[in-house]
Order: sequence, then C-alpha cells, then structure tokens
Amino acid sequence: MSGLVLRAWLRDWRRRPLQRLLTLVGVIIGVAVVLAVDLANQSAQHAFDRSMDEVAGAATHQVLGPASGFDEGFYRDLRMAGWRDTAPIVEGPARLPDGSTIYVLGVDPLAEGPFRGAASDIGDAPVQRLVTEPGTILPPAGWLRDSGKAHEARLELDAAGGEREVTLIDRAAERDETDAETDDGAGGSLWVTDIATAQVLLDRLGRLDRIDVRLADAEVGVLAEALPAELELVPVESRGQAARELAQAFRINLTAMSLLALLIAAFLIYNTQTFAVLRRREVIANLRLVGVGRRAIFGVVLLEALLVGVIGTLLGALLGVALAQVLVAQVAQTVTDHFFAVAVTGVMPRPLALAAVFLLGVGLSLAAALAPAWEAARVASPAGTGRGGLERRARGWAAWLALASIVLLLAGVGLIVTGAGALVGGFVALFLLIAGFVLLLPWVLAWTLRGLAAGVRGVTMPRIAVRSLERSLSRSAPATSALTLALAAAIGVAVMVGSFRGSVEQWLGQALTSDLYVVPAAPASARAGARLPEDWTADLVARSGAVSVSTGSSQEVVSDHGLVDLYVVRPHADWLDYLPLLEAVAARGTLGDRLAAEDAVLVTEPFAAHHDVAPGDRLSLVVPGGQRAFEVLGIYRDYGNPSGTVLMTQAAFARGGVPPDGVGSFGLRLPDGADAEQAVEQLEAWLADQDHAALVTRPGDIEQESMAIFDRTFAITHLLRVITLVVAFIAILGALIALQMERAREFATLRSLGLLPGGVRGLVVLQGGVLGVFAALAAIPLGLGMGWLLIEVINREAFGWGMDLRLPWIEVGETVLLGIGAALLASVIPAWRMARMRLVPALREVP
Amino acid sequence: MLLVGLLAACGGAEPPERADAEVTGLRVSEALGGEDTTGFRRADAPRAFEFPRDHGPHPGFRNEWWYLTGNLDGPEGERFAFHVTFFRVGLAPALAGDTAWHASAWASPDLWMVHTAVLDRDAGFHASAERFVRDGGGLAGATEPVGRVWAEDWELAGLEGERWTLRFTVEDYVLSLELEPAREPVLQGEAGLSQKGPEPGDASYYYSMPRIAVAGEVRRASGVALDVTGQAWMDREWSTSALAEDQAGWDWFALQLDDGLDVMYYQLRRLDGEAHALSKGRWMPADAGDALLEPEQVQLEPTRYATQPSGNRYPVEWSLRIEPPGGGPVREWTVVAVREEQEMDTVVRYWEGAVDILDADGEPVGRGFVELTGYEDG
Repeated sequence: MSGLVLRAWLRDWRRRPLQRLLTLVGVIIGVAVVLAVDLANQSAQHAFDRSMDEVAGAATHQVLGPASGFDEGFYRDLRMAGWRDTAPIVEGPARLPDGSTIYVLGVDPLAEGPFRGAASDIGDAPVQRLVTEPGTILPPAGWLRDSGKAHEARLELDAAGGEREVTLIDRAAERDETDAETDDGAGGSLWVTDIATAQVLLDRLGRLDRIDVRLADAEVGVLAEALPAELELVPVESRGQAARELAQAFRINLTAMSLLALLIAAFLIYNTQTFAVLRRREVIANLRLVGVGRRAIFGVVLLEALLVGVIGTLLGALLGVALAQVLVAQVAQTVTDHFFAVAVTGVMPRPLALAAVFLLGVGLSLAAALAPAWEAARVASPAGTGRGGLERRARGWAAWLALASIVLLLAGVGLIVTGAGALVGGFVALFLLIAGFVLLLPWVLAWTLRGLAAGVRGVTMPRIAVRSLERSLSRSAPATSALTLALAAAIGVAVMVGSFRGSVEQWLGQALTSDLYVVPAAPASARAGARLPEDWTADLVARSGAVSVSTGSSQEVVSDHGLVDLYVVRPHADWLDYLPLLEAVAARGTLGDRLAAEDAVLVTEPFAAHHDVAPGDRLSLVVPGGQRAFEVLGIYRDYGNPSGTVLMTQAAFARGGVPPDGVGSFGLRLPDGADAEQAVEQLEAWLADQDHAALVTRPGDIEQESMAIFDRTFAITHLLRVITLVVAFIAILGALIALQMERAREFATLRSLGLLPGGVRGLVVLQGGVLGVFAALAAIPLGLGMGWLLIEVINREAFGWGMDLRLPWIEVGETVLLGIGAALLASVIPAWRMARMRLVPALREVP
Repeated sequence: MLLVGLLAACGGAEPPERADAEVTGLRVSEALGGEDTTGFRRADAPRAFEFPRDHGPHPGFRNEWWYLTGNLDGPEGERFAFHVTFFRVGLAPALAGDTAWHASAWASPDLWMVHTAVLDRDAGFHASAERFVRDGGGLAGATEPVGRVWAEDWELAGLEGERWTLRFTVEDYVLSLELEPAREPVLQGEAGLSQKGPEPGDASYYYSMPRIAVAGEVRRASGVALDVTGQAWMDREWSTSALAEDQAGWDWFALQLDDGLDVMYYQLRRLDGEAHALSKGRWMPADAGDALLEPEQVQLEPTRYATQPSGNRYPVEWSLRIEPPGGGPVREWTVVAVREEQEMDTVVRYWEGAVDILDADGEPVGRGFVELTGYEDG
C-alpha cells in the first residue's frame, strides 16, 4: 500500500520535473550559503590562529620594546645573565611581486629549539644554509607548490629595508627528501629566515622586534624586574587578542548574513512544498478514496520532504564547498587588510560543520513541510472543499501570528535597550525584530488586500485580482514575506555600508589635513613600523615651500590595557579644529595646550569602546623614560584602526626620555594657491638622492587606497546580498506559480465568460505587481530598521565604530524597483501559462 | 679531544628520540658531520707556533677546540673534577651569497658547541651540560688575535696573559677558576702537526698545556661555595679533516703523575677491536724533553667495566704498562675512575671522567682524565 502511495505521489516528479526542481533549489542554495560562509570563516580563522601560533610558538611571554625595535645587545645581556629559554625575533610584513603581503619571521635557528622548533617548520629547516648564506628564505611549502617556484629560485621582496632579491629554499629539496608527505598541506603561512637576513630585509640592523621567552610562573616577576624601562614583558595570550576578537566580530557579521539567506530559503522551501501538495490534491483525494489513511498521506508528504531535504542538502553541501573557495579568499583578504597577514592554505570541510548543515537543511525541509503535510492529510475527497476552510484558518492564524510578532518585537526592543549579550545579543535582537516583523506581515497583507479590494470596488479586473490574492493568503503571505525579507536585508545592508562609507570618506577628508605627505616606501602593512629621518624637516620645507610641517609615528606600546597602538604627532597648529572630536573633558580650544604641556592623550572611538575608557580616565603607557599615567582628555572619531588608537603629542611622548629616532610620516601644508604638482616634483627629485626610500602622496591617493580596502571588505557582503535576492526571486516565482495553478479553474471560468488570454496575462501580472509593491513598501521600514540596528548596535559592539546614519535613497529606490520588477518578472511564466491553458481540463479540475 | 670524529661518526646514525631542546643539537651535529671540506684551510704543513697568539682562534679551519679538564680538592678533602670544551665549527668557510646581505652582526658561518661537566665525588654528584650557540650577535666567539673564548656566560678569558680565568655552570653548580700554566706548551705529533690519515691535510695542528695550576671556587647547587685548588690540562687542536672509517672509537688518557711526569696517550680502536696503528701519545717528564709514545711502547688493558644510567657500558679500570721512550724502568699503573658514572649526557654520548693513578702497591701516584668514545649500545 505504502509503495502505491509513494509511487502515486512521486509521479509528479516525472511529469513536471522543472517545477519540482524549484523545491530542491531552495534547499540547495540555503544550505550552500550557510556552509560556504561557515567554511570560509573557519578556514580564515584557522589560518589566522595558525599564523598567530606560528609567530608566538611555544613562548609563554614576549619581551617587547618600541615599534622601531630595540638594541639586540639586550638579548645578549639576557642570555649572559642565564636566561636561556629565550629566542630573538626580527619580524614584519613584506610584499611579493604580485602585490600580496607575506609575513617574515627572522629567527636564530639555534635558539629556536624550545619554541617553534622542533614541531614542524623550523625543525626541518636546513639550518646550515640559512645561517651560512644570508639572503635565503624558507617560503611555506604550500606557497611553493602553488606558485610553482623551484628550489633556489630568486624572488624580489619589498619590505621595510627596500626591494631585495632573496633566494628561495625548498625544505624538501634542500634535505634531499623525496617524501614531501611530512608536510600535510598545512605548511604554515610564515616565511622563515635567519635573523641576519631578516635584519637586512626589514631594516632592523642591530635591533630586534621581540624576544620570545618561556618562563615558569615564579620567574615572570624576576625577569620583569630585570628589564630596562623601555622593554616590557607581555604574556603571549594578550598579543593578537584584540585582532582575534575583531576578526571574530567580522565573522559573526558574515554568519548572521548567511543565516538570513537560510531563513529566506526556508520560506522558499515552505512555498515549494505547499505547491507540491497543491498540485497533487487530486492524487491525494484519489488515494483517500482507495482507502489510504490520513497518516499515510501525512507520512508521504514528509517522506518527500525528507528526500528533498537529503538530496538538496547533499547537493547544497557540494555547492557550498565550491562557493567557499570564492568566499575564503575574500574573508582572508579582509583579515589581512585589517588585522594580520594570513595566507589561507585551503578550505577544509569540517565534519562537524557538515553534520550541522545536514541537520539544518534536512530539519528545515521537514519543518517547512509540516504545514503542507497536515494540509494534505486534511484533503477529504476529490470533491472536498478544504481550500476555503484552509484560507479562513490562514486568516485566523494571521491574527495569532500578529500577536506573536508583538511579543517578539518587544523582546527584541528589550534586548537592544538593555544591551544584554553584547554582539551576539545584538544579532539575536536583530533576528527577533525581523521575525516579529515578518510574522506581522500576513496580517498586514490581509488587511491591505481587503482595503485595496474595497478601494477598487466597481473596477472588475483589479478587484478580482486582489480578492483572489486575499483568498489565498496562505500562499501569498509567505512569498511576500520572503521577498520583503530579502529586500529589507538589501536595504539594511545598503544603509549600513552606505553610512559607513560616507562616514569614512568624511573622516578621511578631516583627518588628512596636509596637502602632501612624505611616507616611507614600504608596503602599506609595513608602513607603521618604517621610519624616516627626522632631520629631513628643513629640507622638505625648503623643497616644497611648505608653511607648516606635521609628523606622525605609529607604534605598539605596552599599557595597563595590554599592547595598544600609539600615534605620536607633532601636529599643525590648527589641527584640533579638524579633529572629529566626539567627547572631551574641556572646550576644544584648551585641549591643544594641555596635550602638549601635560601627560594627556586623546583616544579613538573604538579604543574607548574596547577598553571602556571615558574622558577623564587615566591610561598607563610605557613611553621613553618609563611608564607614566596619561589623562584621557577626549574621544575622537577614527576608522583607521579597528582596535583603537591612543593619540599623543611628541612633546608629551618625549618628556621623560629620548624617543626612538625617525618619524613615520611628514605632512606638509602648502601656502594657499601653491602649485602642488610642482612641490611634488621638487620633493621627488630631492628624495631620489636620499638613503631612505620615501614617497610623496596626496590626500587623494590615501583616500583612494583607504576606500579600496573599504570596498574590498564589503564585497562579500554585497555577494551575500545578491544571493539573498536570487533566493527571494525564486521564492516569489514559486509562490506565484502555485497561486496561479490554484486559480486555474477561476481563470478558466473567466476565460469562458469571455476574458481574452491577454486579459488573463494582465490579471496575473497585476497580482504579481501588487505583491511586489507590498513587499517593497514593507521592506523599507524593515530595511531601515535593520540598517539602524546594524549601525547603532552591531557595528558599535563589534568594532566600536560610530557612524552617521545616511539614508541611501538611491539604493532604497533601486531595491524597491528591484522587488517590484522581480515580482513582475516572476509573474511572466504563470501569466503565459494561464493564458495558454486548455480550458476544459481546467474547468473540471478540483478547486 | 677528537670530538670532531665523534660527530662525524654520528652523522649517519639514526637520531634517537629526544627532548625538544636536544633536537636542535642533533640537527647541528648533522651539520657538523658534513664531508665537504672545500674552501677550508687544511693542516697540510708544519707551522711555527707562537704563544700566546696560538691560544687564540684560527679562522678558516673547519674545527677548532679549547678543551680543559682538571682535578680539584676542597678545603676538607672534598674531591672535585671538571671538564669544559669550547668547540668552534665552521658550517662554511665563509658567508655565501651577495655581500649586501652580510651586514648583520648575526651573520657568521660559525657556531659553537660547548660541553661542561662537574664531578662532586663526596656529594655523589656528576652532571654535564651542552650548549649550541651561534657565533654572532655577541653570543659566542673567540676574540682575535687572542684573549677570550665564550659562549654566553661560559667563558675562558685572559689567554693573552699569564693567568686565565674560567667560568661556567653545570646545572646549579657554578665554577669560577683561575688558571696559571705551570708548564710550557707541548707540541703533539710532529712539531705540532698531528697526522690523522694517509692524505696530506688529513691532519690537525695540536698542542697541549699538560699542567696548569688551578685555584678558585666551586659553588654547589645548595649555594655553598668551596675554595678549591688543583691541576688542569688544556688541549688545543684545529683542523679540517675527517678520521679514517675503520675506527670504532678511542680511549684517550691525560695523566698527571705526582712526580711531575705527564703522559698523553690515545688508543684508537678498530672495528675489529684491535688497537689502530695511528694510536699515539706523548711522554712528558718533568726534568727532560718530551717524546713521542708509539703503540708498541704501550700496553693498555681494560680490567673492569660499568654500566651507565643510559645503559651504555664503558671500561672504568685499566692496567697500563709503558716503556719510556728515553729508556728507564718500565712503569706499571692501574688507572681507576674516581666515579664509575661519568658519562656525558650530551647529544653524542661519551664518557669523560676523572681518574686516579695507582702504583703496583695500590698507592695513589697521580690523577688524570680519560675520554672514551664509541661504546654506545653495548
């Protein structure tokens, strides 16, 4: 019996394969997006953690100094004093000829044993070659494989020490081993070299960047005491933690986006499953006639959903793995741009993620099929009139759903107001609000349609169209919800990205107060550590005719909040007028003197958020001469550094001791009406003869570079938005087809009464249009709300960035048109089918 | 002495499972075992020795070492002994590649392997330590022309003068010693050129400082410092050579008799267990010129063996019979380890220990040091 049921039930797959495939597509896309984002996230995370671990090795602590490094003699002193579980490190980024950034770790292989050593990479290093032939470097095995570079190939590296040609050493070749098996594809992401090579490559002669230390608990205090004032002993965990947290925030953002796509896919599944039941009402009724019980019908619908779920999830998983390859590059690039140079060695499908996605995909398919299955089981006989009752019930549900939505909305608002759960709480609130809004939609739609019907009383065709929609609320509402959700997400993201972009642009305009900048010629990621001679000032003024010179230098310093980024400036006189100050302890005009004369600093908005610092608080910072407490005079807006920056004047910085040589950049302000082009030429001519490689850049160039990074960061967001819209389009297409199939008899009747095929087409397209307009209009408040939430709650929690809310009307308008267009487009196929249908069978079809 | 051969012998061996820190050592020892001598200077002709200059380094040779052993007495009859070897290894004759890369102070083709050991007989304590340090960054080196040899805080200094200082640690023991050579340097082999193989250049420059007065301090792990005095012995050798392949190891003796006689003898053991024809030594009486000791003049028989904590088994007592090269009565001694367990717990294991010299009546007539290699795995 059950075999018969199943055969009868699945016959439809052969008869209308294309429509049935729609069911699968929903599952496939939903599963693929979620899996792809998860895999991309995990792979990027893995690469990030690996890089961090490789860099830190087995050290428990690190001895750190100023950003420019510290005297290598200190390491010798440490060793001489008997601290032998120590290893000197010279490290930094470098750029490959193809423009990608790598991370170079310079080690003393003989001191490495207790640290990175033995485990994998350096343990296999041909020590002899690295040590006796400076200029040799060990690229990660994976990179060598992918780039096709041979052992002993030469490669140009661009780092703080300028452009230099290194000789690549392939571990396997150097050790004359045929079994590269030992490298399990996770060859690391660091480029390891001897410390002598790294000092030249990274412009660190005579200096070290850090010393790795392995300490027992009792030794920590002893060593900390023994360190000179400018050096600091820092536990390994505290390093990279800020970057780790931020990268995590970024990933949570992506995961949330992917879940949104899945949610929309769930609507799609519900729609297509409902459609599946509808199409086969006759089959069901006949089955019932031959004595098949409700339970069997219920079972067969769920069984089909299970099959669809399983097949769709499997295919979705395959697609997801493929999609992840695209996404992972994006994620890794973002992590590299903002946090740390990582090289993703490949996408690794994790069994757990696959299992979770499988449960999610199959579970969602089943859950979405529950209502249609129940509906199918209620079909009594071929003459049954379940439909009308169903729709009455649907309207009843709409009211209940509306009630539930109020609860959800209130919960979401409560979560936002209390701020509970931080970032995750923000996302939960977002989803509560979305869910609440979406649940409200059927009720609103019902009333809207009723209102419309009343409004067009007397106009036959539109009235028929609207009444028909209203009577099939169980079909039209979910489809509309899916479209609304997708459009709202598009609007929300547009609001967020647009506001963010606008704020960043405005901030760049304010922050870049000089007409020309002279910066070290190093890759962007290495620029923070690179320095130019301070005594260039006079020459730069002479060559450019500048009226004012500012300098700025970034460095990592130790503070009572762990390692923080410190920006030391010797600013233009009027700099405070341009600083986007958000809060301050005193009037703007008084801050300049206090910053120069007192131990005082300003901090950026993200810094204040991450470290919970308010104006008037004190920060303990290690500056030349030792540790001092600095009062936070104010908070200013800055998008340059997501982990936050402390800003200090050179006067305050150098008060207690001799600051390190060099400055990170010069800012030149030209007299009004001066010819910038000419100044650039003069400067470049002079710079060409100097020992230090430097570039002249204009604010425009910097803005361009910054915005390019910004756009790269959000490229993946746009990609997800597009996928979401595709899913929504399929959902509305499926829903409209279902709707029109159901109305086949109605249309046949109208045709019999003299309505031309063109009239039918118009009717169907009108219905699509009504749903599209409704979805688009409903999406505007929801989208703006989502955008506000993303800006004010989620981005603040994740990055500590505040931004001015901008309403990107153009994008909103585009999205609305897109929604209506999609609905109309989705009506085309059903319209064409309805217009062409054969009347007699349709008239005889069960309503 | 002769550590180079030890390392060469180990080069092809399967590295055993060891702790992390020692892995570095093993890799280094593999590097040391390299056969490539291209570009290095060779000990291929007699040379004029000049002191104190030759206490300083001789760059360009692949290997060079400063090897010191000594027996010490505490204020209340406590018995100590020590062993230190500063071993310079040229990984390459010079830095390779573009000189633009050579600017770093860390850039050097040399590395240092240093072994230290201390015996505290009355505390029942013997321990050894090992360091691998790169020559560069001021971490280790030998000052030119002569002065100091160091690896981090282990140091032999003052070589340019009459009194030297030696400072090193073994676990928690700290030894600070003043060394005053009591005898002129003795050139080994033929006027300091010690032939190790059939080819010219398969030789080393080799001299000994067989008698050095020592005074100083041994600080025990407890923190208690004892004043000590005694006698030390220094061997200096530099070369770029490999040893013959038919050698299983060697037994090396540095003996200081109470009557002022010093004797050095090394017996190379062939794989078949026989003494190698290249075995030799030196007879250094207090009141006459020194002379070469040939294997025919020496009978050396192990009479007792002991198993070390590592499981390796070494002889710890020998009967030694020597016909003095210049004539005179045959000398017969029993050489006994002060403590049976004096194996070096280093990457390449060997036994390096203080010994007593007994006459036919069993009376002590001198002290010395013995090095035994090639006894691993039974």
